[in-house]
Amino acid sequence: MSKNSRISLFGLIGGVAGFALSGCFAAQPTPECNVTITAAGQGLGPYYALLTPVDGTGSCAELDHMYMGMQRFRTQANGGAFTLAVKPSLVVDPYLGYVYSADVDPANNCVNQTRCADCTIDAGPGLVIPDGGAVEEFVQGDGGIGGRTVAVDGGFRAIDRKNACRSVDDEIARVDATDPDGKKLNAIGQMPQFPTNNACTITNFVGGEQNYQEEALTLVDGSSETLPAITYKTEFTNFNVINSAKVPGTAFTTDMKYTEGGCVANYKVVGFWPEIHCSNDPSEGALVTSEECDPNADVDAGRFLGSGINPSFEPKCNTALGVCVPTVDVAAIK
Amino acid sequence: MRPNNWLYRTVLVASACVSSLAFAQGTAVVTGIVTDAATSKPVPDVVITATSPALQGEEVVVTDSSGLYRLAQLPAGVYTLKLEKESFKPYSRTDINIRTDRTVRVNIQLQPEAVQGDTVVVVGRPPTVDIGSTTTGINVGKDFINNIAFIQPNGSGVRSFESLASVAPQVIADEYGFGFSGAQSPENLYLVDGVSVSDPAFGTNGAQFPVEFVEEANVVTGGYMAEYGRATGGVLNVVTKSGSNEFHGMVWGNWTPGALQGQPRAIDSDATSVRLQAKLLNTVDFGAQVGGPIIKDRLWFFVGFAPSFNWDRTTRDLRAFVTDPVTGEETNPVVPGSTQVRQESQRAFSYIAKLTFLINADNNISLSVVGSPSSDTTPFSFNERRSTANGWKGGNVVTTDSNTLSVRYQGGFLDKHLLLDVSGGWFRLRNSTLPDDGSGFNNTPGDGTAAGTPAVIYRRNPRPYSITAFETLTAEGAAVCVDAATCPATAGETYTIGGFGFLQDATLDRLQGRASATFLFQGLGHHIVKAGLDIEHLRYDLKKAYSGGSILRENTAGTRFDDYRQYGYFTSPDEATRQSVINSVPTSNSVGAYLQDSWSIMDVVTLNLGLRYDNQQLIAGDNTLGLTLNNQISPRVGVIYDFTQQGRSKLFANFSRYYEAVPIDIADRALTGENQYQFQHAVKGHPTAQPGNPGCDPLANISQALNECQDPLNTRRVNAINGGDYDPSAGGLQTGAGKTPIDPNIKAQSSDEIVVGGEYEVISDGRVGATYTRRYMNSVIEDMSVDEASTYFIGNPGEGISTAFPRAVRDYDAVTVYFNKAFSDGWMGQVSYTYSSLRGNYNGLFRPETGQLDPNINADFDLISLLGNRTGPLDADRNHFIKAYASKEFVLTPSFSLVAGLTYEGRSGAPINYYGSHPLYGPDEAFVLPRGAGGRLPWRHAINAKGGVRYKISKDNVVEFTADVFNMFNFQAVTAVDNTITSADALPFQTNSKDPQAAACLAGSGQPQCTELAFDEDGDPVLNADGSQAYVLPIQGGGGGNLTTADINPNFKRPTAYQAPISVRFGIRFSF
Repeated sequence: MSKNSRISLFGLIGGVAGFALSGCFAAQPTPECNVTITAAGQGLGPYYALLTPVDGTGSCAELDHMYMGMQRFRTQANGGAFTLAVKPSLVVDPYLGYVYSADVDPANNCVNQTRCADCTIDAGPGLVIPDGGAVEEFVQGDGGIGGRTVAVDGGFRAIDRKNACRSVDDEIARVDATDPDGKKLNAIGQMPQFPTNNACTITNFVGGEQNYQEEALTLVDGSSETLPAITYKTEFTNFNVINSAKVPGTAFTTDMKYTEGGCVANYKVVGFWPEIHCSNDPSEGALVTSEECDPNADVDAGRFLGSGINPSFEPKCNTALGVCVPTVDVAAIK
Repeated sequence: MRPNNWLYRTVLVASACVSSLAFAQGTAVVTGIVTDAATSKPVPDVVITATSPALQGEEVVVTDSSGLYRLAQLPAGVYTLKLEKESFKPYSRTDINIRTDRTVRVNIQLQPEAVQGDTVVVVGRPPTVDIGSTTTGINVGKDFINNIAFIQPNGSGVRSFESLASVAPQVIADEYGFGFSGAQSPENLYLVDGVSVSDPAFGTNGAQFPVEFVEEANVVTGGYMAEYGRATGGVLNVVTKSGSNEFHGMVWGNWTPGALQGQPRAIDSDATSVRLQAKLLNTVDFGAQVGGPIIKDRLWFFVGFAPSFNWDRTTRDLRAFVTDPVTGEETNPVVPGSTQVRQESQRAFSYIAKLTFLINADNNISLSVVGSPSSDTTPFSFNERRSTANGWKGGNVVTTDSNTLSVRYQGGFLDKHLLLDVSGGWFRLRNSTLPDDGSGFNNTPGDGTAAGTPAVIYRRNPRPYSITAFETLTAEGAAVCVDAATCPATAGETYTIGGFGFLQDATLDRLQGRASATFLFQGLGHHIVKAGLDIEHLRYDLKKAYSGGSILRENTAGTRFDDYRQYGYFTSPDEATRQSVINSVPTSNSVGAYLQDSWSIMDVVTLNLGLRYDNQQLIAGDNTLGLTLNNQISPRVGVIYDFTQQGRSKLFANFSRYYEAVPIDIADRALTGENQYQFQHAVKGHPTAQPGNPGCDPLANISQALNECQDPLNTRRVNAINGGDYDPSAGGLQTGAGKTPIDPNIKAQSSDEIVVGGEYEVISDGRVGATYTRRYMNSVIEDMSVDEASTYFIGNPGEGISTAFPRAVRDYDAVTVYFNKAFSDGWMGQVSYTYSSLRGNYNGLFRPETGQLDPNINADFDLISLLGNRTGPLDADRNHFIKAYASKEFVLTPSFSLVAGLTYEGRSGAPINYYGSHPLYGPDEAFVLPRGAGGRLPWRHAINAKGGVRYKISKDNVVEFTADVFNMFNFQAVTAVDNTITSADALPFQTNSKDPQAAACLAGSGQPQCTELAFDEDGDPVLNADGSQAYVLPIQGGGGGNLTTADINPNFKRPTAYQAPISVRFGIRFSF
């Protein structure tokens, strides 16, 4: 063996030994920051967020939940930092917040009912309610508001907030004339590539608001109403998407300032995915074990699939909301 | 340790073999003890010289103080040993058969000079029992290859070396090769001249070349030592031929005429009019090889070249589904004028070149290249590129080039008490599937080429399309195909038109370095200590694209087209950036080290102790760490006892832990992440199409289909303010997943093995033996979802963060009894019977049910709800397997002989399952009844025969004509049946049911079938909600209840594949 070949052999062995040593102690890579796909068209609903009021008075301070769509965007094909868009129902669908009197909606048998689930809902003109609620049809229809034609995505969604009750054909589509494409509905912030301590902190949110001008409205029963100009706005701070192998972006926590016209309130928000309905009978208890919430299937009980909620959330049924909610601090799941 | 003795012997050997140029190249070992015939005491310092045609020069060793000698690193071959020692008579022993990786003991008694008589009488042949290791398996050499009909050509017409594995007990053919000892083919280690040729991405064998290039193959099914790692299956160790001091060569040719092949049984589908029938036209291969000295005893060469060709003919016709209005009888006439014929060709050009160079007496180096560029061409002119999913799609060229380069140095030091073996290898595999019109990744959408046009999948059903929507029929044909019911194109099948679809071009590299040092010393017996390093770098350069930028797929309602497959990512809500070509280059680095000691305790019992360490890091395509598998520690412990102490027997037991080398596909598919997105597009002519969104019609103008469909007017963009949609991208959907998270405490995948057995040489060169093998899985790596398919992570089922999942189980138990008689005295025979059981819920690195080969990220463990009823006999479970091979040479005259070979392989059938549809994962993903509840397929028997005429023109010139008949009795056993009981969403039916009929149903095929109608206790029919009579088998069809008649697949348990029919191959071979 020549001297040179000896050197190269030792070099190879040294390199290998170095790799072996680093390999022995290498930790698994941290998962990239991500959120789960919310896509109504695929039957993947938005995040469900529990709201705990911190301060504020008035109707805007009495909310207990909201929905939120989320999507991660890339700045390049691989790696790099991301942006995150969140779309809260508070600005998308502010009329969810209206408490309709029962007689607003006599056609849908919602008189004296407290929940949509108890109403019979018929499809209106140009609308399709497919079996199982899956959206299959490519539909354009007349929203029937103020003589404007707006696209209506065929589909039916139980609307349930503050015990209000409507059907889709009653949905009121108002347009922010300054934002006809609804771009500002999304609050878009900067998302790092990797979490710190299982949390991806979203910063510098822009958007998340809706500004309506004053508008005359004709309801389906023929009565009239003038909708006032109003601004709905959400502002997020300390927005942390929980990100680990165990909770890959399916939960978040944030502080939220909510503005509804002149009403301002602050909330602590815990969001999770997906929204699963369960009993709404508070007589069973406030937080009860429920098979609807069980992440595990039980074939003997006829449940082919689990609830789809992450088992580490240890979900139980919040009977006041009729929704399965985490019973642990989602930010503390290791 | 006595270093002064080594020095002494070094001097002694140096003086003893001054004129000999000796060093060897190989892995076989001969060992033994030389004793004094008069006193039976060991004789030290005997000079032993080994010679063989396979050996360059001679190999010389000296016995130590205990009389022990050891000739290591020998190439396989037939050897002669000469022993010399002062005051003893010279001794010579011939015909010692040495096989790759095997250790044989040849004990020798020397006669003192003082004893009268001058010859030493040797009784019987040298023993052939491998007394050095606990390895189970078999060596397959040239005699076997030449005399037995068992090697079928692969897809490229190459009679490739991988077939050699098939003859070993406990080896079963699977979809991607041969599975060893209950494991699957991607779990094996495939070595060619010491270089791993496993496909870096998928773990399957990546190389091919004809068996004529093979000197010997060692098929290792278990019990192997620490030097072999990174395999949870077995090892196929192939040594190619080398040159020698004489010129030898061979010219050969083989021809399998399609005309002599039996007619395969046709398989019809009720879902489409299209019927395909494939028929072999011809398979031809020929070649030449020659080896010899460039410089005698210094430099040898060996070269070979072997082209092979395969031609198939596929006939496609359309069948009509016609019901006679009077009798109600259904017939399937062929639509007039619909028959088309297409010819496919596969070819490969295999080559080998090898140089063996002796640097000096103790150091040598060899350099070899072997490979086989091959291609598979399915011609189709572009305007005809209209197809169904069931195999008629054409116009493609599949290229598979495999090339292996290896360099190996071997040296002996310190009187050959220290042996060094250093090798480097480079295996490169190129795998591409591209259009045959020459278009490729650089073509742009709309340019009219196959790569520039999107594929469009039609699948409207119900209201299926008639075949006439896509194809122009003759007037007579059109008169038959009057509607979609008569000639359906999309009744459950799809019909694809347009461009090429998925293009891919992968270059895979495997760079390897291995070094080992073997050190021999004494201490309470003899030790052979081997320490080694094993490093490997994998690279997977993968380029992929969809022709025209997208695959458009119709929804089953026929109301829209989706961008079914399309690379790209969103940069902001509903704003996408297309990636027309994805090029990702994931890599993997592995380091392994091992230390093993083969300790012959007091020279009575051999104890093999080994410890292997491996570490693998997979690097994602964006050059970040994707997955690290640390601290894989594999203990190997074996004990061998030769009760004859003459090398004619052994009793052995062995425990091994084997770790998997994770194929790099996971780094591409899961660790890198793939960006895909889709929008939905309106269909022209559908009622929802309006002036604002006129809809697109790919059939009318396929080359502009993408522009038309993806026009914003035709693209669904839900107005963000309609109040129903909280998705930031309301119209578009991001479908490609990001990087899959890893359980921080993930463990590498491994299995344990226990082997016990015994072997005894009953006749010269003939051994009987029995082994028991048990294997089970430890941790398994899979991807899983705890939230019903919304998010996934990679972990170990049943461990870490995946405790909600059951553990992956694969338990293998096998007993094999065998008799092996090596070729001598004009005959050979090899018979084995294996009883085995393979049970669990984990098949391995691919899924036999669906063919999915995504090692460690298969769908198996994706959801807990998929795992109901999954435990049972696994797909490769064959309880009984008999393999028998025999051949005899009948010498008629000194120059003329006949050769006859006979093969019988019989095995019991695979389990049959009951598949239903899973609500999230779709058809055939739910096990309605426990795995294997459908009984088993029938036995499959095959008898092959070989007949040959050998004519010796001169001593070294032989010409031979052969005929191989495969499946000579043309058995047509069913080898697969339809396992789909229903395409409805189905509940895994639980075994704890109290219903006696259900219990009977679960008891298997010998009992009343689960598809029988159900009756209650009073004998009245059990009715479903719709009034139809229920089946015993309960199915959750949406709202629960039992199966209805309409839910049962009428094709259930009907054959979907048959044994290959009889075929004949003629061969000619001239060797010199």
